[in-house]
Amino acid sequence: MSKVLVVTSGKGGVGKTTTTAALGAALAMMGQKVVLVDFDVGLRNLDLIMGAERRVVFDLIHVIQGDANLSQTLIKDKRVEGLFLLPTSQTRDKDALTQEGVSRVIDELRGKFDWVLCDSPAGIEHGAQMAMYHADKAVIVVNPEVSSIRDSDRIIGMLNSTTQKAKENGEIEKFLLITRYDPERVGRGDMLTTDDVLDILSIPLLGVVPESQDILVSSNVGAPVTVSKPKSVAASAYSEAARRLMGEDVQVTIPTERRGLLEWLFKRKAI
Amino acid sequence: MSFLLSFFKKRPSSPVAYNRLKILLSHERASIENSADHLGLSATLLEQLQREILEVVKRHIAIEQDKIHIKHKHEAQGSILQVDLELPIATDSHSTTNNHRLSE
Ligand SMILES: Nc1ncnc2c1ncn2[C@@H]1O[C@H](COP(=O)(O)OP(=O)(O)O)[C@@H](O)[C@H]1O
Ligand SMILES: [Mg+2]
Repeated sequence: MSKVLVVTSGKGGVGKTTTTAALGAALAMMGQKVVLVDFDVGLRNLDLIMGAERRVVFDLIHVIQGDANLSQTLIKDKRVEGLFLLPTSQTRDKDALTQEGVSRVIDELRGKFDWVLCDSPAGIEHGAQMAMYHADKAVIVVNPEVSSIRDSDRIIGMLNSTTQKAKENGEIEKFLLITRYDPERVGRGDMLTTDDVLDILSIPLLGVVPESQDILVSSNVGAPVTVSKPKSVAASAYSEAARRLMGEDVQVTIPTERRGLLEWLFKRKAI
Repeated sequence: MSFLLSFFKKRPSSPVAYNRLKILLSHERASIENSADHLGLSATLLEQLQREILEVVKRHIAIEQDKIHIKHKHEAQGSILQVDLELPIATDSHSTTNNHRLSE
């Protein structure tokens, strides 16, 4: 059965788009048929992160308004079999995302794909609500930092209340993905631990992605980190998360400080 | 020696963040905005409801503005809108306000 998953957070800049690309690619590499839908109308970026910015002809709003059909609009990834992108438009007219239109597109995508991943815009307004409305599952992306955690809590409340699942008295399956986790700062006591965040938000943990240079490099070249740097710590955190989404029972790896011998000696001297 | 150590050692800030979040979120989870989300109503409507209920009660009982709370409860049968009124009760020893809750 097809699953609709929203990647959301409330706060901007925490890693939703990065996560949508990396998780989607990881799922496709496991043999799933996946579409990534960019809901960030006006500030489209998923195309850029996927390296498909020059291949966008039609977009989600065209499909909603009936100016193009899905097969004209979907962009097939050239590296990963079974991975597709449904880009959004750069129009500033947010109302273009009508409830009825979005429902129709999501229904059609359900018929074609195993996974429909919706990359939510920041905030709690119309765009974010449209992105989460049809979801069966939600990945809440959070940084171990006070404002991100507070916003996530608000988003969790909305997932429990203003979505289709909630209206049918069901519940969206929610997972927490902690990103930009810095083991060194955690070690110093200046960043909340994974346990702290879990204790505050109390939803199941999908994975912990460290703050990583590999993410920046991947976005520079326009590839999900799971494609461009599959061996990196960040990529394995995302691959692990994808396996967990597929129902595999895998232990979550918490990133630790990885110090070279020289650095270790140096640090000891410095004390 | 341990005094010197503690003098130079910076206090970790993450426990402060943890405690602040715990307190803040317990308040926010009971807030009007959150209740509105859960009930699928607007916060303005809930505020208006709160104001009007208070007006009706005031016609009969002296009650202060901050003694009315609207909450939502999520239960198996569905959402419940709960209006809590704290009614003043004169006690002979000292005049505290006792918590008499009128639910529904
Ligand atoms: N794990 C990470 N390590 C380092 N940088 C990251 C990480 N995750 C995201 N970023 C960076 O943070 C910025 C915001 O990420 P993005 O995915 O666009 O966030 P959002 O979609 O939530 O606004 C980008 O510059 C991205 O490269
Ligand atoms: Mg984004």
